[in-house]
Amino acid sequence: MHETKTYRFPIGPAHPAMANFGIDIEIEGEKVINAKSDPGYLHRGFEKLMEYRTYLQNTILVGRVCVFEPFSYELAYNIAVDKIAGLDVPERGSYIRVMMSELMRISSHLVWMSKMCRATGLDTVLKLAITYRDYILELFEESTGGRVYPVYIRPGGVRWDLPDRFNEHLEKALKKLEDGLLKIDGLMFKNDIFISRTRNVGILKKNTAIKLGATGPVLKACGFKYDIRKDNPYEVYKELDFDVPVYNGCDSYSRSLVRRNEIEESIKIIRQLVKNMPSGNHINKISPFASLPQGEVYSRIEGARGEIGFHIISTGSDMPYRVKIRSPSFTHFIPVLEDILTGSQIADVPVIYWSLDPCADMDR
Amino acid sequence: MFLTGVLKGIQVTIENLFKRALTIRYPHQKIEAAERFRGEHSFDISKCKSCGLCERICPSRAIEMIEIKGKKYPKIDMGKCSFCGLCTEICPFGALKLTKNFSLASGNKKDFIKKPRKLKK
Ligand code: SF4
Ligand code: SF4
Repeated sequence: MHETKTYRFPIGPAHPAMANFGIDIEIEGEKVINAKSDPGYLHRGFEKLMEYRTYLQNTILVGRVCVFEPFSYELAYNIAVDKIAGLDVPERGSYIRVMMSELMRISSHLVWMSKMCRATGLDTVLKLAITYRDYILELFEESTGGRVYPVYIRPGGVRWDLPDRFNEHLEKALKKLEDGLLKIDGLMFKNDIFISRTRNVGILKKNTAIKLGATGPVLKACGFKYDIRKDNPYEVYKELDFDVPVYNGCDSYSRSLVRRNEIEESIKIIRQLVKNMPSGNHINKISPFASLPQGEVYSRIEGARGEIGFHIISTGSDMPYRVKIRSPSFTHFIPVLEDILTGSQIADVPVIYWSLDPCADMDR
Repeated sequence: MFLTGVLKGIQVTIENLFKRALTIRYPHQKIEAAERFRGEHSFDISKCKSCGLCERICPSRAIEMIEIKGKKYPKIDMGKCSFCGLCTEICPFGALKLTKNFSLASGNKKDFIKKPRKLKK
């Protein structure tokens, strides 16, 4: 008689607890003995689409790579286009760009908080975090006209100047966020239930993290102080004073703490930007159908999930010849996730999955 | 051991029970959209000079120029439009604008194709 010892168990991609891509796991009893990522469900072909649109039209498209942090992709793309075109960004434009991408980082981490709490069964924080995110979305609506897809950063600066009473509204929202963070601390990060579900769960070894190309909070939770904002500063980060949170636990709990502390640092950065915001022009415009000179550039920034990069080749026409997007979730969700899941308990799969903060950018 | 965690959660829930709700009763109540909000287009046919720039810039290829009485005007497919606002930005005569109207849902597919005359001024 044939005896079955292991079972193949597909999770996702069309599953409410999954971010639009699936994993095939093989289980023996309660233990995961093998895991295989199954991407492709959300592939939208951005890189090809961008070859058929002008540089300005592509600014509309790039934000859609990742719905939780469109500003980061807009920023990375536009830094690359600025480099090809040899455009100088006015100081005010640069300040606004950084301010918006820091707000986006907070908003993205709040979405992650709600998803992580859903995986650990803390439904109160799920709703609280989404509530606090709405204060940021209101700021986006006021300044850019779009709540989720702002379409705001342009080659050479930003689309519009900040609206009149923006700083007032911003300060109000930041105060609410700080209060909210304290409230969430008690419910989530200092909560025994959360700690016992995440501590020593999903350990990513230090040398594996480097070997598999982890970046962002996943790498910082392994004890590496690596942040592109510090190590290879772009825009105005050189002038700003902020810390990079680093933890040594290598587990889901450390990854959670890194993100929580990044929110605090981002609030600190935004306060500095408001204080030192220069006046003047916010954009050096180029013509919408401009042909850019020949060239090849790579730009990289620190997104909420890790390193975001754009490799653009221009052959001198009004459209890019080739665009390659480097997205952090791609490395986190194929090699890193497979490595961490192997040997874990099946009940910990959602916790490990969400501790890496997945987004649609893995499929592009 | 986990009791404190559970109690803390219940405490927050009770606190929030007596607060004013953040959500509203849409569609009976509405929140005014921001000044820069990008919604449905408005089109002033008397200002349009049929230059075709809006068709050329549209990244979603949602605009098609159609002929009315010998002149060409933009027809917009709302199903394709991504409300980026490039067409309104490039229009040299201010004929196309984005309004605050966001309730565009319809059960009929034809309602999404906006012919020049069907767009409000
Ligand atoms: S708003 Fe953008 S997508 Fe919509 S019709 Fe105008 S240019 Fe096209
Ligand atoms: S850009 Fe303006 S003037 Fe030109 S065709 Fe379009 S709506 Fe008419």
